[in-house]
Amino acid sequence: MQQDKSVDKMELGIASGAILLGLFILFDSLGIKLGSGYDRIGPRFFPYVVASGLLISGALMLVEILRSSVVRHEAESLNKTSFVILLSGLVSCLILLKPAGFIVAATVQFWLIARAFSNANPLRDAIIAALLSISVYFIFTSGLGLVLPRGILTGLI
Amino acid sequence: MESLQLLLYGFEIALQPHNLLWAFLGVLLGTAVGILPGIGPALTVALLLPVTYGLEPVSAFIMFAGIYYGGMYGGSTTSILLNTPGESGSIITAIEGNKMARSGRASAALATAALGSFVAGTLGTIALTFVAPALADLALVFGPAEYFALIVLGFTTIASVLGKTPTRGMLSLFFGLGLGLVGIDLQTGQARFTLGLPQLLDGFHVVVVAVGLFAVGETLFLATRPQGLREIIRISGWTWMSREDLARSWKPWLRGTLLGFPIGGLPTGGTEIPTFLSYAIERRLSRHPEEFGHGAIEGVAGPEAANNAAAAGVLVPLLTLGLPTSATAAILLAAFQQFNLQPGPLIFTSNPELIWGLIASLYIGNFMLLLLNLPLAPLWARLLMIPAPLLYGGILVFATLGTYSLNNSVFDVGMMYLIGIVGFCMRCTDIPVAPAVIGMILGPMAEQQFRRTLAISQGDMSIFVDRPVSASLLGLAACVLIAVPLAGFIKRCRLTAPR
Repeated sequence: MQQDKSVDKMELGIASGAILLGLFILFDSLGIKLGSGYDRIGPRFFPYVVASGLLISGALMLVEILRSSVVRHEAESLNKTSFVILLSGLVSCLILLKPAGFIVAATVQFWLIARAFSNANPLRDAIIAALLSISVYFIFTSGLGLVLPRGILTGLI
Repeated sequence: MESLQLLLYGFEIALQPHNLLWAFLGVLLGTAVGILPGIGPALTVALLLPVTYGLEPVSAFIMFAGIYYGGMYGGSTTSILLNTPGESGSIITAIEGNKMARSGRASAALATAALGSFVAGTLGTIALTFVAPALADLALVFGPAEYFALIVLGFTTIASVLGKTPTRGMLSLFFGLGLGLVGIDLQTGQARFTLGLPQLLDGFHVVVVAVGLFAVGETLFLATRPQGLREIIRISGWTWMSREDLARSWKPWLRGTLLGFPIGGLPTGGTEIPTFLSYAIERRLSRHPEEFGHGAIEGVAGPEAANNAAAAGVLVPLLTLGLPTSATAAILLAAFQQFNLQPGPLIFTSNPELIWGLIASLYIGNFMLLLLNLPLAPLWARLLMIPAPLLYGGILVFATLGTYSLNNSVFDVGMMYLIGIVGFCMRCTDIPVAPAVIGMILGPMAEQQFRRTLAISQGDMSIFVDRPVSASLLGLAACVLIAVPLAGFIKRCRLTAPR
């Protein structure tokens, strides 16, 4: 039952998130300047439609959640450690991409994400991460003409 | 027939050696990426987008044709051998095909899927060849009112068909519409909802949103679930099927095609409805109804054919009207825009070499896929053995690469990750992500056409009902809006009715 609650919390979060987003769009729309007289339907109209759509569907989903008495058949628990490791993989790539370059950032990201799934073969994963990042870099830059950040390896590659 | 001449012209282009090579590379990469668990056709196309940046447009689209069909083939192999459908169109294949594979008939399931996909893909492409130019001519007389009505019809079906409940589909759609609002308003030239960030002036790129929702969301979802060992069914040798299997398969292939192409080609589009319909029909018509749910070959043959025919059908509104009706089509549209091309009625006259080269290479790609899939299925199946840590590590590296290379911007990558976290929450709560992708692409189009219409009519709303085409389309949309909740209500009443 404990786990059921955690999934429900997420559903509540999504539904209220939609309502908050709707409110944000509504209030931010007030800052949009109206067009000239030729533009019968101004730039605020569609945001209003979208905002009301979000408010309505968010509210409907809240009702759905609160009214459903169905017990979830699958008790699923979130593995928080994996979530945090994976997030760190994403954030580290954002930080490293420009200063350290694509190869370093991709290697770190690959390795950290592999850790989020299983901690069995850290060394194997590190080697594969480096090999993949290096080959992807060269295939896409020399082979396909993309520009990827070189970072700290600028002199070497 | 003019279409035939143009098609021959297309073959002339597509059969040039270098274009054949790109088509081959496209089907190869499309199958390889599409087969990876958790990667559907939409993500396959999005992840492989950067591969084509360096090519000239014609070659790039010939390659895309291969990637598109290849991703579909790859997805069915995964569904059969691993029971992880990469997209809603292959859910049925996963149910029935995986049961077949478990009872030792993996080879027959793969063969009927591959042959059925080939038959349906080829027939669907033939239909596309003749329907598309005709519809493109018709579309020339479409005004903004008709376009707007078409898009609204698309919205209603996309939101109400996908997802556990219509509410969730609607929520996803409006989230996408909200993302689509960000950026410069084309009519008045002012920035909306950019939070003062200059990077958001151009709005969100569909690849940022799709890769975030599909790749990052899925990876987060899988990483946080208990890591059970996935059961992969092993196969060896050529995939083939017996005479009896063939006898049971060919009719479902044709029926699936007949369902898939027209429904996929409607502006409401999608591949879910035809596959579900095909399954229901085959179940009713089969001489072995007791096998359904335990691995009936008809239940793989029909829906697979429907899925591939619908994939060809989806190209009709995309190429002739510029309207994407599936997440995959939304990314294909982005691919066109990357090359400064706008699909629509005019592209048939302005870029015939591109359109006809693309259509011709759909035939070629389909044929190549058959050759690649029947003998080599065991080889492809080995891709399923890639351990999850390496697989998802690789997927995220490619997701990052693809997003970064759109504008060489780290900001885009950050946005993609953020949207991925939203996608993770949606995945956990059974909210479908495809309506969000389609919404963010179609939203701005809908707004523009709506405002254009009212500028023409000087603010008179009755223009939408005065024009017969737009009136009937909007009427259809209203019917869908009423019918879907009503059907759900009736179903609930029946379930709760005293027996």
